[in-house]
Amino acid sequence: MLRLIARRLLLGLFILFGVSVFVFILLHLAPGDAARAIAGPYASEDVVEVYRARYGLDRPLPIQYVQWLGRVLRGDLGHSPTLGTPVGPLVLSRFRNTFVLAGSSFLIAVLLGMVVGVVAGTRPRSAADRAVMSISLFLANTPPYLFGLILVYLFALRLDALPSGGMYDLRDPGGAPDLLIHLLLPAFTVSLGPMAVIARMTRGSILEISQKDYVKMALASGIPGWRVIVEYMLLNALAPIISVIGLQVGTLLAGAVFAEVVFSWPGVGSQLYTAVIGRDMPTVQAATLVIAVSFVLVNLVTDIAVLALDPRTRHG
Amino acid sequence: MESNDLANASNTHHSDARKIRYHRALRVFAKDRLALVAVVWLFLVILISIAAPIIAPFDPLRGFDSLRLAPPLTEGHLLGTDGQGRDVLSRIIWGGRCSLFSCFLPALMALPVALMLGLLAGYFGRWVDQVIMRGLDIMFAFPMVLLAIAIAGALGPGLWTVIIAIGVVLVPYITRVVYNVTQTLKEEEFVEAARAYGANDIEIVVFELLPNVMPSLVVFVTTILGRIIIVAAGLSFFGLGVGPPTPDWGLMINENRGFLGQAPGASIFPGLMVVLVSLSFNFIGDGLRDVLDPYRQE
Repeated sequence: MLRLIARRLLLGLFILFGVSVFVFILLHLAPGDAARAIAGPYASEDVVEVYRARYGLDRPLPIQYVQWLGRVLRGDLGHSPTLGTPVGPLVLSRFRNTFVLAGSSFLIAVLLGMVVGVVAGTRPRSAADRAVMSISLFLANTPPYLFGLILVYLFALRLDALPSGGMYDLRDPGGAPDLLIHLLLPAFTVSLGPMAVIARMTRGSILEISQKDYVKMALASGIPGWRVIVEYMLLNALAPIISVIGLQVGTLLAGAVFAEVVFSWPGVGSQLYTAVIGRDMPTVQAATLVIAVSFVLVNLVTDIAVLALDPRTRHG
Repeated sequence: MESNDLANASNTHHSDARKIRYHRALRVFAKDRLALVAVVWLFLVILISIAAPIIAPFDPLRGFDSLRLAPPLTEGHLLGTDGQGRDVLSRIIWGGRCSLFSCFLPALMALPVALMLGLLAGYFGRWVDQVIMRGLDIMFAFPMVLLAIAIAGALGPGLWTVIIAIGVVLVPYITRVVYNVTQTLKEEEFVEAARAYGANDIEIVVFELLPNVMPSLVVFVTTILGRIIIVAAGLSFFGLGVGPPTPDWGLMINENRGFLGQAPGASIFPGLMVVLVSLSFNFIGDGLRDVLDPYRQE
């Protein structure tokens, strides 16, 4: 198994390399002069030339890539023309906020999704099952930017029960309770799409497992239903569910980006939004890099977790 | 003469068989009520979008200053007006053009590329397989929406930006499906038979594998069109699509975000259109799956 893990790690490294190449290329995809893209539309020609020399933008692309990679690994993520400050500290400080949002959404999606999925899977074709399937279908197709707005309208504007945006109260920032109240709507918004998919996947997996002989035997032996679910079914159903969860993290991250815009949550996503609107390429690159690397690392962990949890995957 | 009769008979049977298959397929599809409703709805949406100049009650760019942020069911404005007094219903009707265009075109663009890559990788295997699939792995490393935002962000806002970005992002997903199906199919007997009577590799790929990949491909593309329209609207929401004042569903959702308290409909109705169209594609894809691939294990 260690060899499989090593191979997966190697693949992860290769993918990270590919991701870095792509993020690097982004700057040069932009129409127009790359140095101008970094300096911004209001900079004078002299400043543009300074940037061109500093980042070696007249050298061949592979050399530029190596230099860029070296800078990134040392923590220098470039300089933002719109904000006039280095990008690195900016993005990294916001990353913590995105992590809070994405992390809590992840927990909600996985926990609620699996519970709902198990409930539906153990009662096939019941009213609960059909309700779960149709609601989850609708939710899986509702984009977070729309759902967030609906929630803001209902809970913040109509009922005035929850804040409509921001991470902490601007006038009176509290501690954890303040954060939690502000976290509720955005985290729920982001969690819905993945939750729907996880619920359906769990339901399908449980359904499939419940047909297996060892489950029927356990039930026939008189072991109570919930024990059968937890001890016999869940672990075996877990492997495909974990794979799906890993993939859903991508949807989760994308959803977080949109939710941050809708809820004015100060994270990497809203920063990406501002950078895109302001044509701030260095920040676009940095934000993309941070999000993509997180996704790659999460997938790495889930793949290794599946290898560890389910011996059947090791002999594929 | 006898041989003539035989030839005529087989020709007739061939076209008859085709008609029978086609009608049978329609019957199976029609059994799925949801898919039928979805087809009708989608057809209506497309028709109305094309006929926008005739059908829309008002000019989508014309603002009625005295009637800003009117609620739904106001006189003359079924869905109300937006922040600049423009009729929401008309803007939704016109907006369908951009939104539908930017979901069909990327798929059409990505298809030939993905087909080629998937067939080549799946059939030839070994290093071709490795190179293509590892390259795709890198693209899979990005969440779909993020990749589209990054590409669109680099290219600058515009309708073609959205189309190109989504087209590029789609290629790995379609390629993967083609690749998987090709790998399964290349071991089948009909491929061996073709090889036995002298077909070369290219002929096998084009005449044997390609037609048999199509059913699964059609199902997949139809289903993913649902996701495409959500991503396209998302890109417009992000400001990467067409610019104001052009009506576009994603852009409308963002434009009217600030007026959520007074006129939530201006933001939410375009969003609902996106959801409904996306669901239609999903249902049609499910219906097609029953027709084209009824032995699939769910």
